[in-house]
Amino acid sequence: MLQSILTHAIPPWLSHQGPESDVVISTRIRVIRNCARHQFPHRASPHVLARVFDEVTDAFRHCGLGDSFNSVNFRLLDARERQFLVEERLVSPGLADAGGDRGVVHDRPGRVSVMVNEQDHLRMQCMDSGCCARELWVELDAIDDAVGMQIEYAFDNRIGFLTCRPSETGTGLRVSFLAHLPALTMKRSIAGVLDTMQRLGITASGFFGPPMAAAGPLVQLSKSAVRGFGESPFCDDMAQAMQQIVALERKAREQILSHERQLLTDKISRSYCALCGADRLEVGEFLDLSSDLRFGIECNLFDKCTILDLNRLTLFVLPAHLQTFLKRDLGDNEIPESRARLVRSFFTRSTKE
Amino acid sequence: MSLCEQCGKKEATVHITRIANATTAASHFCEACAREKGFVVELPENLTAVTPSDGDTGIRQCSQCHLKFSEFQATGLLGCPACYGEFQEEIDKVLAQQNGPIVHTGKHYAAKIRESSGQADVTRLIRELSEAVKREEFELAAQIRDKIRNCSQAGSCPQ
Repeated sequence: MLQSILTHAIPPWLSHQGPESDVVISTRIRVIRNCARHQFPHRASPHVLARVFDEVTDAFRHCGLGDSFNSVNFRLLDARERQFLVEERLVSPGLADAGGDRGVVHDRPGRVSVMVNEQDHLRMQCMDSGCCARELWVELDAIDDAVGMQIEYAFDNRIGFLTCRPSETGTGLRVSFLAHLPALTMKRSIAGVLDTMQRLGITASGFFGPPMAAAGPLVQLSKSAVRGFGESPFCDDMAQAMQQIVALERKAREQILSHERQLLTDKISRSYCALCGADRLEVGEFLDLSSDLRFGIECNLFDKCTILDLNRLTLFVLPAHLQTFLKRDLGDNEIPESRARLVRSFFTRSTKE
Repeated sequence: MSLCEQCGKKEATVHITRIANATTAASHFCEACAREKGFVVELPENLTAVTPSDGDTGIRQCSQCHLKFSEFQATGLLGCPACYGEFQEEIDKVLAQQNGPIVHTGKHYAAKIRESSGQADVTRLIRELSEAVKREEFELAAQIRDKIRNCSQAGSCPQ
């Protein structure tokens, strides 16, 4: 089983290849678009939902972006298969829970995905490793143009792209970063940094977004574009804000390495022992402990696995991935136990090699 | 077929979506359980009593999707793109409360729809046909069937 995980194609956003990926794990940008002639999904009849789903699928088939796009209707998936897509970050948890003709059109690697009939007809997103908002916008802009030739978007010259929630009209653009900030967390300066970001309108949340509050060193930072801003300048501003955090985090890492090195190596060793010795592991616990190892790998203080393998493991400890690769359903109670077993066998293998 | 979440036995035919503070919760019940929970499941006998009449009731609603203004106030969600025209004044107030100007200065869009390919049309038409048959709307089904026939004869799609 372990082998299948280690050879599983990792989504590009976890590939650890992008710029600044020692701090910024991934960047995601999305735009909201709606069909001009249909009611928004929450008001639409099942017939209209089906029609929108078909139109979007057809648009991707004919828009000249190649045939690498895969259309998935959630009607045909069970709960675990939907959750799998949530964990790969191709769809939102809200979409996975809703019924009817909803789903996702995504490219095979998992860089681009379009949620169909979520709160709006189309939520198109593009994500990749590292700090790369501007590059992703160029790509998403082109996809948006191509799809806009096939589907008539709801657009108003004065207020922009029309959305189900009026406050989101305009560009419909949102930029999010997933950042790893262990040194700022250790030095307890993270709250101050996130406060400053809050003042800039950038909100922080945990690894899984809103329900889990921003705690621990893995933080998602996001902001929707305000009207009156062009897409490119907005992406540049966001990237600039993120670069400042990257600089602060790197400085904090240097300080810890020169003044509190032993404290850090001790923390890494303890976390490693806890991960290998646990009989049960919750996701939050795993994220906190593995963050220390991630920090250790970045500082050359831990060499029992690579960041890429750790990223793979992070994906496969999530419930749907875990069950998919064990090829069986697990009870809620069994999951933490199986997770701990997977983590232990992962590190035993790494140590042996 | 989804089952009623109350009794877990019968098919869920009453679907309730609650939207509050940007979170959406959906519940699905069978008719009997929905009634027990106090939801009204019958359509009124006199349908004209609930269809919108112009102005005299004083209820503002979108002429396209019939979303009432009060529903928008309660949920913060609009019903269709045409609602923006219907409730422009109120929506502008919402937009003015946000930071930044109301006027969009980002990417602009002009619909330049390419002629859709025959294959796409046929796929859609076939689906619409089967749905029309399911709903026993045979006149509509016949019209759709003719459209599919025309499309095939025109040779715009592979057989």
